[in-house]
Amino acid sequence: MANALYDYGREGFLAADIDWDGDDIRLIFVDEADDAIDLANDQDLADRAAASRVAVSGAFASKTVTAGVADAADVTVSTVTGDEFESVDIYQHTGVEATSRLICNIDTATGLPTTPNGGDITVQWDSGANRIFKL
Amino acid sequence: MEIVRGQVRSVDVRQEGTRVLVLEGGRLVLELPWEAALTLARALQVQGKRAEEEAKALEIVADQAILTRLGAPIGLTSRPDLLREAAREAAWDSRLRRYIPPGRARGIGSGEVVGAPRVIRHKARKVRRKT
Repeated sequence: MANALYDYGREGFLAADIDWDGDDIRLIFVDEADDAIDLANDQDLADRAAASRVAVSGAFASKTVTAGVADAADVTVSTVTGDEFESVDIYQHTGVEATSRLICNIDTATGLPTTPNGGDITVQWDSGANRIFKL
Repeated sequence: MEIVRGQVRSVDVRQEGTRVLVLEGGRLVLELPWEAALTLARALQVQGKRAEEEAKALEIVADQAILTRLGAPIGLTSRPDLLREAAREAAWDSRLRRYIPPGRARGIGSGEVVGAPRVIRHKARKVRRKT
């Protein structure tokens, strides 16, 4: 497909349910072979099969929202093991899967798909004007 | 003026001079100057459309759900309650999910732009064994 926001993620911004620079935002490496993505209907982390989640990052740091552009510091996930992953989900982490709203799916990126080798994996955000995404 | 009719089978609408007459069974029930007749006609058109929307609510929801699930940016109604129900149907109706599977269900397109990051896999750290 293409990099895109989840419908419920977009809805979350409009309904003020997601505060990009105030909430705990994280990413997750997703093995798409274990879960069929549904951008229109997947709402929260519970909608992505547990088996598809290869690794989860810590909270994003240095988040900004200037001009509707979501940005943050590059993210490094330490000592990643597991299945090959084809995409990266960004989500609002609440600590509860059923309320951790999915925001964005990235399946088009340099380096994807990636097979973990036990080492760290860094996601270096787009250096262009759109950064992580632009609403 | 308030006109209440339980059963109106047919009415005649006539123009006489500068006035418009509405007759039921040959009996005058409404007489209006032409300006009022035009205003009333517009109001009847608007309210008639709203009544039609109410009568066809189920069909509108079903059709809007198909359009929404396929990603066609066309609105068949501006009523928020019908749009909400259509969005719910688009997402959860079992027949729509069967015949328009997630791969084809693009939803309504958005103008957002998502950047293309770089995923960098680092070398695994070597673990030194103690001798």
